Amino acid sequence: MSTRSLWRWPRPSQTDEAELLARAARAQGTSLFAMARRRIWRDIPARIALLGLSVLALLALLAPLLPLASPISLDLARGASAPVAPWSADWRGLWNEQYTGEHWQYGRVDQALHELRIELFGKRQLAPLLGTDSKGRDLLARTVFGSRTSLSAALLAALTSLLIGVGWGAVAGFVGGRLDNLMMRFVDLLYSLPFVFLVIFLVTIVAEYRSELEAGLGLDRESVFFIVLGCFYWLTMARIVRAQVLSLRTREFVTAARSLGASDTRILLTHIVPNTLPVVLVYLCLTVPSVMLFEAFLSFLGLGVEPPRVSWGLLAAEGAEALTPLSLDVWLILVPSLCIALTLLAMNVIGDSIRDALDPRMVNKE
Amino acid sequence: MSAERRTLLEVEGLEVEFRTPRGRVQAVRGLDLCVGAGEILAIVGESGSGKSVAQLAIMDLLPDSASVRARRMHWQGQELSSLSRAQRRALCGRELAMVFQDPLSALHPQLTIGRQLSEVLEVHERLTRVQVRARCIAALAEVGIPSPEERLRAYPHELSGGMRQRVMIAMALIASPRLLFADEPTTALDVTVQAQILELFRELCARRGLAIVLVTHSLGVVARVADRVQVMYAGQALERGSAEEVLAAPAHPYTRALLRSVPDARIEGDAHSEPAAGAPARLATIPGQPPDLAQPIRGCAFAPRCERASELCRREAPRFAPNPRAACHHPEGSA
Repeated sequence: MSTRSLWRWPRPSQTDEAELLARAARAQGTSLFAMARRRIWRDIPARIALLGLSVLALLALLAPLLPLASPISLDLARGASAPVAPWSADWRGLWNEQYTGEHWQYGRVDQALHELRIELFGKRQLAPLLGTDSKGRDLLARTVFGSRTSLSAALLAALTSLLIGVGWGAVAGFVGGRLDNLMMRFVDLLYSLPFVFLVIFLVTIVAEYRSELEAGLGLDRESVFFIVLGCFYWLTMARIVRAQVLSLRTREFVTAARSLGASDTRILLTHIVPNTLPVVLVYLCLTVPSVMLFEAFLSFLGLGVEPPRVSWGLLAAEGAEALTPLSLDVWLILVPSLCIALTLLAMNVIGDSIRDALDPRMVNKE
Repeated sequence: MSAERRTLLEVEGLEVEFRTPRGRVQAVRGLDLCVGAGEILAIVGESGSGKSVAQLAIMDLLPDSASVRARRMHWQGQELSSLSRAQRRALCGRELAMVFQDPLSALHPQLTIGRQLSEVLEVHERLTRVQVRARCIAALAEVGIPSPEERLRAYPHELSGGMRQRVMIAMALIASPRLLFADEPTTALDVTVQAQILELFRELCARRGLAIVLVTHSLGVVARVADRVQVMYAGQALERGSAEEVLAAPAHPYTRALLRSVPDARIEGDAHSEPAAGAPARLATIPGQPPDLAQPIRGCAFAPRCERASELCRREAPRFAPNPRAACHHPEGSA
């Protein structure tokens, strides 16, 4: 590389190339993202939210490895019991050896994690710190396992929004003309389908032809739910991004980039899409909670996750059922609802902080 | 005007047409253009006379609703319209570059100056990161920006207007193009900065042999920097010649009228005393409006507003043929 000359034509007079290179080596650049990362970290609420979400994600990912009680083993004799209050705790009783090892059918990774757990902890498990439900199932374990569904639904919606939605909208807006028309009419088409109705419809079909579908396509209710989610949650994002791109592509800095020889792909990727990022992030932070709520809503209606599997929505539904004039087991609804609320709060705090951090105008205002 | 300068760009009969809901608008109607190395050609004209459109057409930056035709569009002997879109895009920045009027909107608001400068080199040249940074520093230094290393990390909004315009110029020049289109580069700047930028242009021409096509509507700018001038009206050239000739002895009535309508800033007598003789002179203007470019134009485009217009002007379009300076049937100085 060093054999290549620094200058193509013409070499400016009185410039010492070696000195220039030395100066260049000393000057270091900072990327917007490195700076954004630093600024998010300096934002204390965002840091707390980020840490909280990371812990949650880790718990969800490693759930089968943790020394939790089985989320589905029943203890009808025990029934509903309140959370362990710290002041009355019998500290030795919190760690018992009654793990039953019951679980629904795990995938390969989860199975491996579960085997590792048995290696590590044997039959030991945590006592029901957050209480049990009316069938004696450990609420802590159920909440941790339930977070997997909620988080993966959120993740899926975020990914489809980002990949399909942003890509679709950016291409439609940038290319324009007939292609734009075609792509956006397709979005309109999907928009016009009544979403909840479609989910109910599909879920019923799946319930009817369960054995055939599971044998043939490996489709169960949960995967149908996820597929429908993935098909629909990028639509609004595509519209928002397209509108942004439409207003950006006629801006003068795009013409300027073109006048300096940048290709269309380059302009789209380095000049237009990053400029839509603030809006995309804000909308993403609204999408993720709404997906989690939607999952909760469907599970609440009994259309989402199937028992014995759990999700936060399902837990909240069960918790609501548990509130009767005869029994006031508030923790059953409080725990999952608080989990949902706190996760959503964390998402919003982070989204806000990212948006601020990515705005170069905020650089010197801290 | 030195004829021995190597010709870089040669355009003949350039026509640009926009398809609009109102019909076809002919923004440029048969424009000839010729620039040699180390020369500053100024294109002067009112708003809407097609100055900027002609530049954008040569750079291939017009939207798809525009159709560009030309008898000849030669870049160093090569016909530009025979090149593919990608080939022309590759010329942009490397051979031809452009400086825009408003540097704040022409710079990307979310990228640092260094990032934007180095992008040009990423596109056109294969250099190591340190080499790229060295070129960026050299480019900023060349346009007179102090402590260029620090400026690399700045964002456009952190710089003043004059600095931003210098950054734009550095960006246009970093890949060492031979021809620079400058679209009213000093309109958004105040006078002192304007003078600095124009001085910079002169310097670059002398040092690098850079050719500049300067679009402006300020005759003051023309007088200060241009070697040659081309006066445009309604998408056509009405007069061309060396800057001294055109400014001192305009041949076309339109140029004369333009020169007359420049406000005179000379102070007559004491500012506090009463005006010496009668009311202060009103600023001379050209009566009427430029023609509607969506309609076909018969005869000379300027005839309806011209004080020397005759029946011949309304009937037949004038050419540069008998008079090489002005496309006019009755140029100044003739009967």
